[in-house]
Amino acid sequence: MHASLIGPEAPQRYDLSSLLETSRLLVGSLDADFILDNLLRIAMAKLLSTRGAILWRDASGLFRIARARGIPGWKPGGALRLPQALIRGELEPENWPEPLRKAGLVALFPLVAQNGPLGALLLGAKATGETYSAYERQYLEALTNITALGLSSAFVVKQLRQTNRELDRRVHELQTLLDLSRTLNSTLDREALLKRIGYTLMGQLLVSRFAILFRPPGRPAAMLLARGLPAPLSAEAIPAAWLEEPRARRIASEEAPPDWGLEWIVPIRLQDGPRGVLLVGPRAAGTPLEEAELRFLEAAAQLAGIALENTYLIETWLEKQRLDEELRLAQRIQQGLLPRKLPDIPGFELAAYAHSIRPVGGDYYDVLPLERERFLVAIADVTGKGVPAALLMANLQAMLHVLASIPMSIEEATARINAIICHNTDPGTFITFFWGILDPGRRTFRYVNAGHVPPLWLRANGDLEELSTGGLLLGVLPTAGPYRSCAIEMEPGDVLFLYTDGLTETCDPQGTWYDVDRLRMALRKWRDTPAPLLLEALLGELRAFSGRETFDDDLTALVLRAHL
Amino acid sequence: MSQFSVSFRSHDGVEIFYLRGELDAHTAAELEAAFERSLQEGRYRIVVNCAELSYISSAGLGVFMAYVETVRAQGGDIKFCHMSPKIYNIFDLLGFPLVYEIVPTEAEAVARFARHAETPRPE
Repeated sequence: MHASLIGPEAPQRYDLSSLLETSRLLVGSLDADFILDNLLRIAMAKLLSTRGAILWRDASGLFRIARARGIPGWKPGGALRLPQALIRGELEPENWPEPLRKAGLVALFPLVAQNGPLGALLLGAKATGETYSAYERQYLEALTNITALGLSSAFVVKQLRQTNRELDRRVHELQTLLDLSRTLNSTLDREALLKRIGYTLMGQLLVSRFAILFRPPGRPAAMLLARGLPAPLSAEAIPAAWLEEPRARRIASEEAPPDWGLEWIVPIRLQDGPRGVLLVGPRAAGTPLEEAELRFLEAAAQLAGIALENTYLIETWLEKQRLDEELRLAQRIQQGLLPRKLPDIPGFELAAYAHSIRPVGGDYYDVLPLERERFLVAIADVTGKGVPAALLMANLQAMLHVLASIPMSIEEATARINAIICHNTDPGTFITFFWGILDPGRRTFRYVNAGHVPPLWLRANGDLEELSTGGLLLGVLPTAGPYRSCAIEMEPGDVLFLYTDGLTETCDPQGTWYDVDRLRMALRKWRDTPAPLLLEALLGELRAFSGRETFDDDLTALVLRAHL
Repeated sequence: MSQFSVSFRSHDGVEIFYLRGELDAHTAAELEAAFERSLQEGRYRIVVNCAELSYISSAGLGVFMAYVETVRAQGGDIKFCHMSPKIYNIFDLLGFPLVYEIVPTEAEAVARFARHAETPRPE
């Protein structure tokens, strides 16, 4: 403090109480803008100057015009390159740089804080034409010294406020991510999800234009959402490389046509890799996205990706559940088509086995009592597997049951079935079919073989014959010539073995088929065994041969044995 | 579950939305319906009175962004009034004052539309 300010010679408007009051007003505000505005205004008023400015040194050492009044062309923010000695008040006005002299500035008062010069207050000549008195200069020096300290504090406060505000924004971003996470977990409706994602992006970033390209598991990438774009944007138009982007970034002008109106690309990455991209247009306020906002977008995109992925997974799961349920129904229906209980045939033993590798299969067998104490015995193998084969098998079963009650020769009935199958099925779909009518009283069995693996007739005397008389398999040609039948006479102890090719194609661990020769040997080995035990023994051998408890293919077998 | 409602009033050709409660992703559909209704009736001058609005999330703010271009394209606008400091702080943090007019009172918001309407438009 200059002692002369307190002296009796000081004019009233430069007295100590005025200085203190002004200082308190400025420094007490802790508002840098307020201090700068008022420092300049008070200085110009006190010294009766019509022009003045406050220069402020920025981080790069350049001097910025913080405030300016009455100087044409001087605007806040403008930069001046000035010698550091000037700011310390070490240069006389006649040695000042040209811009200051040209601006009509004649007096400089440094603004010096604890950590060095911050800037300076500059004033033009007094409006009265007088020179500045010693009192006036001393008053201004004291004022600028006090104000510099206030300014320094005000800038700290300003910085704190900015930091606080930045913190508020980060907290809000976190709150938004939390909201998004909660919201996305609350629905599996994809449309509702996309709408919520869209609103969150629009509200958080002030954008009205964006697109979401997403590649669901096992499906091609699709444009799930495109909002506010000037023209439709297809998934195919998006450069493939964008799906591999590791981080959010600005789209370069050469990467996308300007009419897309998109500025930012944000990867949607899940744990197992890239899943899509979020494309964002400009902000309504025109300001670019900051680094922290890009990180927010990455997090939001990941949350959105997880939620979208879940909708697809659930969709697939529900579809699978539906299919499984349908399959369970089909299985129940198909099981109903196979005989629940084999009929008792006087003078014969009967045993059957059916295994399907899928819930429903294409193998079929049946034993039906007919008029005059006769029995229809049938076995079939439908091409393909699963539901299509099962449906065709059901078709065959229905035909057999209808035809069984109509007086018709077995050859003619086979031809009818063939014609219907040909009519009802696609080319390439066919059935190998064997059936016969057993007259237990006469021990005769008249059969037709429509392309099925020939059943084996193991006679009591040890002979073994294949029952192959018949014709073409069903469903190939509607008019392939008549089917022929053949009748055999079964002696006591004779065994008739009907099967599907899954049996002879059962493989050992080296891939060798069980084949017909092994089957023949097995039948000979157990021909004196009752039918159920014979079948059980054969299946045991098959399991031992394959080294597995279950079979790899549909497998059906039927044993008909004449009592001794 | 958050509670939110919108009620309406028309005044001097301006539709005034009175928001009440918490506007978030779950309740945004209510506000969306309000905008749809106004747009269908050809009302593009909208004042949003926030006096009873206790909370707004980014998803809630997004609804305004979703409709602002449409209403402005029709010569209208969305203006806000009666914001509590807490609500204003959220609008301010996200930069809404750069894009929307936020005024203290409903009367002033309506008056701003009137002033705008008096401005002669170039042919």
